[in-house]
Amino acid sequence: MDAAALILAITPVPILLYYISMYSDGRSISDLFGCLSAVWAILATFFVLGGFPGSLLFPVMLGTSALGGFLEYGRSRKGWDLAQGILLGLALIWVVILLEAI
Amino acid sequence: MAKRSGASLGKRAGLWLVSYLVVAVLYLGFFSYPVQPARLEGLSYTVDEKVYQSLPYTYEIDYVSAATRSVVVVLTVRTISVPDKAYSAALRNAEAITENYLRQQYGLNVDVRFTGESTTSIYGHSAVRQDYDVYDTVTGPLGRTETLMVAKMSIVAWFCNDNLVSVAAGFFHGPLADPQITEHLRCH
Repeated sequence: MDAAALILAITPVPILLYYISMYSDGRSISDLFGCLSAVWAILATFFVLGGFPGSLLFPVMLGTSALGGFLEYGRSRKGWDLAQGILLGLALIWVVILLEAI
Repeated sequence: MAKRSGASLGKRAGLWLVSYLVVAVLYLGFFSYPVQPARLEGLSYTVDEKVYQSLPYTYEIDYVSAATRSVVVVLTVRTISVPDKAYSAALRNAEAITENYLRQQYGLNVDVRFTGESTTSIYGHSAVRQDYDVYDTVTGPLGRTETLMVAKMSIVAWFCNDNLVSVAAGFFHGPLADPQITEHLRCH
């Protein structure tokens, strides 16, 4: 693995650290799913090096984070968590349509 | 377990901003990292190579053969994984780019016509291939104008997952020659 692959693999680490920090403060489901999303992004680099289609990277990231938003809303009933789920869900739909359209 | 109060909005926003700034810097580092260029191997060509641009890092190698009157241009670009549909859409710009380039560089008013797209395998990678015919309008000794096919052009593009680059190779050759270029392209 060359240095470029290493740089790409560590790119989601700041986001992972952010969500770990937020989760340790508030134990929010959406922050936990944010952690999972960042871990997926790190692992995906190695999967792509092995031949896995990279077009699944962003849809899985967005889907995981959107699901976290909806699950957290189910617990907290806060509008912000619902908005996160809806916005990320719309972003997921947009990415899927974009990937199909190009 | 009772839910704790959580971080303040200000702390959350600040940490979020810092995290994504670091991500942006890392992406800049990735896209500007030099590539291991794809090459044409096993053929006798005059080679001219250069760094085409630094962001995204793009390396260009031009292969010219006077004997077979053919030219091969290989671009290696630092990218993340790109779906074939994106390559297909990008390659369709080749018609206009080639016509403009030949007009500006050599004063040639050629007509580049798309003839088809296919998928080919290059050293174990699936690549998008587009073929074009190049026509020129010439005036004969009796003043009659004719449109003749003067060259063929093929372009292939693929994502080389082994070293995280996209490769685009264009080859131009006479209408009767059929160089087996794709068998000699290597991206790692």
